Amino acid sequence: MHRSPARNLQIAFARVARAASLGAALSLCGICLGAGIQACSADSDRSGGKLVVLHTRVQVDETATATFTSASGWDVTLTLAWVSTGPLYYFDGAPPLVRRERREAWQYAARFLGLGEAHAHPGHYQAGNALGQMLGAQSVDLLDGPADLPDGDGISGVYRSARFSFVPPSGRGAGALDGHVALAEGRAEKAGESPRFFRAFADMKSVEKSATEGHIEGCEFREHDVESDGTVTVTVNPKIWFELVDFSEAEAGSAGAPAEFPEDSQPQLAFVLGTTQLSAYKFSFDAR
Amino acid sequence: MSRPHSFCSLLAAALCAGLGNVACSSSDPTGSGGHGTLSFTTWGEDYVELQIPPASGERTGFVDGWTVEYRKFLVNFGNVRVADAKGNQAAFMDGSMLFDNHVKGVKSIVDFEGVAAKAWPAVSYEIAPVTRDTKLSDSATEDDKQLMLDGGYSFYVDATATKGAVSEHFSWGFTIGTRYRECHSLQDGKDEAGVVVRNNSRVDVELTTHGDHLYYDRLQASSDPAIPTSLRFDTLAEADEDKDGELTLEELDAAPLNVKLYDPSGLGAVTQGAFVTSLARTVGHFRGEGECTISAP
Repeated sequence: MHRSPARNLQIAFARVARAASLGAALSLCGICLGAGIQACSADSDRSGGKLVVLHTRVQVDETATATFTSASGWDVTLTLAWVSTGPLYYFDGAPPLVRRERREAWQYAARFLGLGEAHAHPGHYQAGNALGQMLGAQSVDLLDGPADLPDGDGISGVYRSARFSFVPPSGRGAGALDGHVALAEGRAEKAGESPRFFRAFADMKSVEKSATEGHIEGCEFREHDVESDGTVTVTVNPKIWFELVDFSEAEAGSAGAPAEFPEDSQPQLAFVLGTTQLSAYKFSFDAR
Repeated sequence: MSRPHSFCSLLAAALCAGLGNVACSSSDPTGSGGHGTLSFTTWGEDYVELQIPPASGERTGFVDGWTVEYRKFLVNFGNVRVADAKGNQAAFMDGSMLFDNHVKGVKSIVDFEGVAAKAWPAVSYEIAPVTRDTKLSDSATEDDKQLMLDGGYSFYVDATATKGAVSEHFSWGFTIGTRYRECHSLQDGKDEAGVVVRNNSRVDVELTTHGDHLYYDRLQASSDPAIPTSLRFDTLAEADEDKDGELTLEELDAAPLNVKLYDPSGLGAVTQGAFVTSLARTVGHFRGEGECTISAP
């Protein structure tokens, strides 16, 4: 019988709890997450040892609710901002300074022999041990105030980083996203330029070019020693989505008919890259 | 949807069962006791000593036809540390030593003698700003050290990029400090964390510097096989705003990241200068192609 990954993790948590060997099992989880051989040592006495309920909430960063200035000097005012969120995972590994993927043996050899293309292999983010999760998916109107997501679960421990994930929109609110995973509308202004009324979107396929499977790995989780039930808040900052966008290459549009960024244009590529930046998704915990 | 972390327990158990004492036993893989010597060295590879060529056929290089030749590649190594999985320290090099890896050959950083013969999976080091106490290797000069001190640099390159009749000279100093920890490498076809010391043996541990990393167009490989990671210089050269043939970090900082060619891979660089600085953290490697987790010191 095939079970979803989410169901399997739920079962794993439950089994672990019943067996009262939480720490050992979660240390073993580190293997899957890149902790490698160290995890095999099964540091069983590090157990936080307590299951916790993690209520989950999504909210918009306040900077995006008023006019903000992008890195390229455009004053941007959003009138619409939607996102389609998927499962969230929380880890004890610190967020990265730079990222990399672990290479296969042939990739080491290829560079050594001077063959093939270069492989980006900067120092890597190690998620460490998985401590918690929220497995639901939801389409969220960010400018409509905080939205509650389904409850998640986890174990006590020090939470330091997180995975945000995009999924194709479904359920209530999906219609507003029109099949995209992120959508924003608004006005951009800059001295000497005509205003731009825009409708920007990112779809799953384009996001996956930068974020494998739509996962934004290594987001900052404001470090917190979680000891009891509480609420995980995901703060989404659409300002970051626009940091790289050069609106001078966007069509003017109008308030009633905002212009979409043309395919493969600088604004379109930049917006999609913006949705994959770690700093657009910050996590925190409150013991309430 | 992602592969499950949910399978972790079972997978880990299977891995441990399958790999036996190679990867998962807590016992000493060398077994026999005794002592050995750890010899830490550094080398810049041909890319730093000779040149980074244009890509040609299957040869890796700049995809846009540039060649880069270094004149200086100054790296300040320090705080080399060797420990076991529990943090018990076997060896530590306090302070730092400055190297010019453009000077040919493998250079000695430090030798640790009498290290217990066993696995030492936790190896770390730093590339940190030069201080008055920084020692000089034979490859670096007092002038080099003064230059690094004056700028507060940990890493400095002086190089010329050429493409046909066009050339760009650049001298970039980076003030960032970077700690490389949990280093691992491929040894005999297997991924090895840190180093394994065997009785009466000498282990060479090379802290290799990769001179090509400053020119990558992304910080993380795309999962789309149609999007390779490439070495580029066209966009950097275009940032030479006054067209004086001298490309400064300030000019790169003023150049918005070219999103048609570059991907900041989530780390938020919005200018070419910020991107190059992020890449500068990645020059440090371990035993050739091995890698480490990167953090602030």
